[in-house]
Amino acid sequence: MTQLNCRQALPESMLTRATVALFLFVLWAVVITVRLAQFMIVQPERFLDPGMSRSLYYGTIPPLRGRLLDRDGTPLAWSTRVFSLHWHVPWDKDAALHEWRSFRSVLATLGCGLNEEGVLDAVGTTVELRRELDEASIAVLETFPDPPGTVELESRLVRHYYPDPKLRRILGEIEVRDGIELGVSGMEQTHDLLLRGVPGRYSVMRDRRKQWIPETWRSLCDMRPGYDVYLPLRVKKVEGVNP
Amino acid sequence: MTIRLRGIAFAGLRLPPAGIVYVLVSLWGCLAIYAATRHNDPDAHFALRQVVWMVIGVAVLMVVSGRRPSFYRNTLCWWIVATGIPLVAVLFLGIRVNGMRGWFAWHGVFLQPSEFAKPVFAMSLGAIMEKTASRRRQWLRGYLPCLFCAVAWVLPIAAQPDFGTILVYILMFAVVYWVMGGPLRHLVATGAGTIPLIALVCWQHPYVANRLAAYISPDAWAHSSGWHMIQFRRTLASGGLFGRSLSSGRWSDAYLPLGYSDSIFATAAETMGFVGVLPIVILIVALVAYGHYRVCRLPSPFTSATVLGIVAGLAGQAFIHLSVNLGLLPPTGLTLPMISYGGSSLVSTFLALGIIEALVVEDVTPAPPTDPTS
Repeated sequence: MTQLNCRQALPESMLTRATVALFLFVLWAVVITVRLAQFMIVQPERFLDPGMSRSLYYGTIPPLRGRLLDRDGTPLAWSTRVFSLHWHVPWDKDAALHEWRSFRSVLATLGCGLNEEGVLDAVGTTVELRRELDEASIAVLETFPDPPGTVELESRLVRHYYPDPKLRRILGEIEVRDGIELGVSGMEQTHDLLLRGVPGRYSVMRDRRKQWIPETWRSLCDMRPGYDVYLPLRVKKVEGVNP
Repeated sequence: MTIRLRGIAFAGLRLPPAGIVYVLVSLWGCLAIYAATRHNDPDAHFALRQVVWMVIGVAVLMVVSGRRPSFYRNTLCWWIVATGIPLVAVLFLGIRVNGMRGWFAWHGVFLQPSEFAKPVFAMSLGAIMEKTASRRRQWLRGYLPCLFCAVAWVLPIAAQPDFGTILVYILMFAVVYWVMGGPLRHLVATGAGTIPLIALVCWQHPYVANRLAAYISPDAWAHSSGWHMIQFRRTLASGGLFGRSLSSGRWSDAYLPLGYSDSIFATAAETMGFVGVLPIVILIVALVAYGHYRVCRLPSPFTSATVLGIVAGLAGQAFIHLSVNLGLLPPTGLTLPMISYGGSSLVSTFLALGIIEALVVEDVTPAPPTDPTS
């Protein structure tokens, strides 16, 4: 081994090895670039499609059920969509209290009286924070800066009827199956095919917290509301009934 | 403040010309961290902290790069003490995160001693290389001192345990030893001798074996160890040629874990596309080429080996990070230097680059007259 004078340049063999090391790094960079191109340019669908199929959530848009009207067009049966706020309280007490503190002020605005004791009693369960939210309350929710993924706004359809017991029996009843209102007796059942409508379908990607990624929402099939049906009878108009 | 062609001078300190590139790269890293964390961190807490660490790192770079090469040679013992003691102390006083006791925590500030030890390890290797230069081919008097030096630094890190960082140290040692004239058979024999040790590690730490199994077949381990690797692929594939915009990363927001640290390359690839991240690969190769250029012109084994070790460590860690994100290697937990979130990593990288800039001054220093009796 040649004695090195500390003021001389490295021996030729070391310079060669340094060049070989440089070459190996460059080779590594080439492999990385080729692999990167494979993922991003050549075969992105091969890697993305299986993921999309597993991460996509398919949902149904329930159709708004048609109205039953009298001869003059007075509503006898009609549906409205109501929203309710639910909170899936985490199992961990500290996490539950932390989340509750983050949206406590919003809950106060909505008139929800959940306190710290109530939170601790409800860990691991689902709490209904507010049953029927009006438009003003929904507007308040939209100002909520960053709701935790455990808070959900759920909607459901509610059927309303003309306030007459005798007429009520004629009109019949409905059942809600998979979010869709179906007539099971009376006029509701007789004209169910017209009243029912066609549900819509959508797909959306959800993240790890089960929250929607909005820009991935796609309509697969448009929702068509049910038809209104005029019945051959006439009723008196009642104050306060205004669907 | 004056700007000269050879860098930026400020308050008596100088930022070398290469330092300007380092600052721009770390600023790009702050932007990548912001893109990776904007949904869960609307106040840009991570990105702003990284900017603070960057400022500290630049100050360190300016101080360190202004020292003469002899300063590092003469004060090496103090550097070893200053970084070696915390490396051992963290095993007793540090906090445990994800099963690894490798950080000191103080009022929300986390320091990882193994990061600061990397450039000092390179310097200690350089000193050993210089002392054993005349007997490099000897197993007992040439190779073993170098090996003991490496083992002394690696053992405390193995006790944490941080196997990803150990990989970087091993790479530094192997590159420096071989380039500086060490026989390849020494390294091969050592590698073969550690196979039982690797088997023992896999047995003692099942998560290591799980990661290896998931690396071989990620789809078979899709719901556990292979999940991260599958999300890497999907995030990269989602980026395409030009990427999504800064505000619409999809897989990196939805599923990719640790998008601001261990997975930042994949996150950046999704937002910036192939054309946006290819410069990272080019920059790493440029760093290696720059290191090669300097190493070939430095006159002493100490400075050559130190520069070589630091460049090998930085470039090696960067390529390991890229390889993990691309599924070429199993997950190691290594960050991308200067880009991933992490104050210790960023400041130690600036420290290492500053040491390089200080040592390469020897390149232009005229050699004094040689002693005719030597």
